[in-house]
Amino acid sequence: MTNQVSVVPGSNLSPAPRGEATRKHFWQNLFAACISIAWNASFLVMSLALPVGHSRGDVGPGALPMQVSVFGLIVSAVYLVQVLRGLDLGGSSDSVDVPRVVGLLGLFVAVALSANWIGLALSLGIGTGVATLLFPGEKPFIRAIATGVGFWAIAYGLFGKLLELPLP
Amino acid sequence: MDGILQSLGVIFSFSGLAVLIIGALLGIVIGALPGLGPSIGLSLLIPFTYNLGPELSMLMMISLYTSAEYGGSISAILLSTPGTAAAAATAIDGYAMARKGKANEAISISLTASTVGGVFGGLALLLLAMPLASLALAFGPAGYFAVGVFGLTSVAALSGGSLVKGLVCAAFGLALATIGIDPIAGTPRFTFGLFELYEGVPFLAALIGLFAVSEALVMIENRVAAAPVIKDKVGHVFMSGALWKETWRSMLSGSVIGTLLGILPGVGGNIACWVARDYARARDPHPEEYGHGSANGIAAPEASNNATVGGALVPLLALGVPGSPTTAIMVGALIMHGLHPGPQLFTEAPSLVYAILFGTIIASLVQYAAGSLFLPLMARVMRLPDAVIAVGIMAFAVLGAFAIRNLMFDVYLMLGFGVVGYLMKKLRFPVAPIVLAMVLGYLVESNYRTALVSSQGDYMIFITDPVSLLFLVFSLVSLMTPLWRLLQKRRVRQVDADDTANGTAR
Repeated sequence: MTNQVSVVPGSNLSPAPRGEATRKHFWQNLFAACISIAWNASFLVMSLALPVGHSRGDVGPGALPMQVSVFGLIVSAVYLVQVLRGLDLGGSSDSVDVPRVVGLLGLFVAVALSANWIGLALSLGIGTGVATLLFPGEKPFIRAIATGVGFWAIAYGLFGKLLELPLP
Repeated sequence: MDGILQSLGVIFSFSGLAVLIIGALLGIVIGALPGLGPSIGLSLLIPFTYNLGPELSMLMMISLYTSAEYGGSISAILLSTPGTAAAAATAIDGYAMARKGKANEAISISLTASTVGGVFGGLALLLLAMPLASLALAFGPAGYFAVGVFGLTSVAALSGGSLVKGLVCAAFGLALATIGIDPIAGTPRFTFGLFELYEGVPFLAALIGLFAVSEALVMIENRVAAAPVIKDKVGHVFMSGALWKETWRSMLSGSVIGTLLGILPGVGGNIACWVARDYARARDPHPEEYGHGSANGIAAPEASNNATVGGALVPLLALGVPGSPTTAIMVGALIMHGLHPGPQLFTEAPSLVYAILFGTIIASLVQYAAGSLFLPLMARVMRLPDAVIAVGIMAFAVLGAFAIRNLMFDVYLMLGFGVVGYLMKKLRFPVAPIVLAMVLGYLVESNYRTALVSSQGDYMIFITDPVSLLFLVFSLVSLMTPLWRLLQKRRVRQVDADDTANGTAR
């Protein structure tokens, strides 16, 4: 795969410094191009199912979505061709820090899910406190408690009471 | 006249000045924190400004936007890490000056130049927006459709390195904009029976996810060691007479460049700062000082990035077309208040329009006062641990998404968009085109279909309408320019490669 990098003369995209990173970028971009084509294709199918317009001259509710999805399919196809031609379209060379990213996201999904039972302010306080433990740093537990209490106070006092946001 | 008096009454009321000061303080902090910027700040702030009413809400946002552009320079000077992309040029001379023990002086130049640029941009907005809006009032649906298409072509400038990725994102954003009840026939589209989607994908939830949550997710991953922090005590920020004399020309040229580039769709402070710095350097009798702590190397980019604020608001107010992600977010705020930006706003809500026009100038002055008084505190905020910042972003994102419609559905949607935004950042996809397309989608579709109904299905209306033709030609030029530049670059590189090959063969 490495010999596919920036083979097109005069590409405005800089060649990747390392073969490993470039191979990674190739698969990342190939995956993204395929997702993009799949999204636009499914959007096109759904657009075609929409009714036609009733007024004279009206192209109907499905017209623009259909045109947008066709446009999306064309640009996605161009993107795919560029990826297959080995143009370095950029991407992240670092691996995703799965435990931390998923941990942070999972925590906040849990915050949203538990909001109806224990209240958003409390769940947010607990969630933010625990979330700080995902980060490196000194005195993690003191930081976690301070952050949790601080955000509970902000959510409950500032948003719930002062701004009268009807928090669950 | 009533509108002017009303707007001034709002600005100089207790609440008006309070929101301007709060906006300025938040803006400076958000701008100074590396990785955050006016877009993230505004997207997190909007949901909470709902209760303020449109005038106060817009004043707060303008104040935040203006001050964030200045705030970016604080970390650029003290950490060599620009807080916003628009402060990148300031980091070169600002950090060099700070390393010489003149951090205070560097920040004073930055604050003064930002204020001068902001006031200049505000005055340009005041002079240009109204005449342009009067012209735009005569546009028909075909003309408005073409204006919307022209706004969409700024995707080319917002695409970063890859135009094709920008276009993929624009198509995605337009597709999202078509979700919900269609604007002409009232037919639900792609809602899957979810009543929460009948009004369309909540723009603010998408915005908070794409900008703010994705940034928090990036932040939780490892950080690269930065340049040594300047630990000078930051105190007063008043510029001396000698510095005024040395830098006024750069401030003026930066302000003009920033305003003009700000008006162009897709061109913002991140480009203007470099153009202004290069221009000032070319005119400077001591260009060799640039890069080693030149006062003009700070003044020119800082004046320009703040002047872009007024410039960027010109097309938004006059045509209803946002030219940058930040102004696109402001459209979202206006929509939240049941208003649609554009020339009709001058007749529908004159006090709001004048509040924006005068508020842009006043916000720059408030930024100067807030920046001067609270600078030592701001310098401390930058030492906040990443953990607290990232977690804070997530917490405010949850509260903000909920506050939009008091629905937990929006919170889940926001988290979903956060994942999409994070993956896009990893794959170097630009997020801005999605936001722009989502905002312009409604304008484009409603006018496209109204124009076709009025012409009874004849597509020639887009050619025969002079305004439509003009803006479609502009759109073509706007899209073709980057492609043309790309071809030129390729040709130059091909010639260079051929020359090298010939040289080796000999």
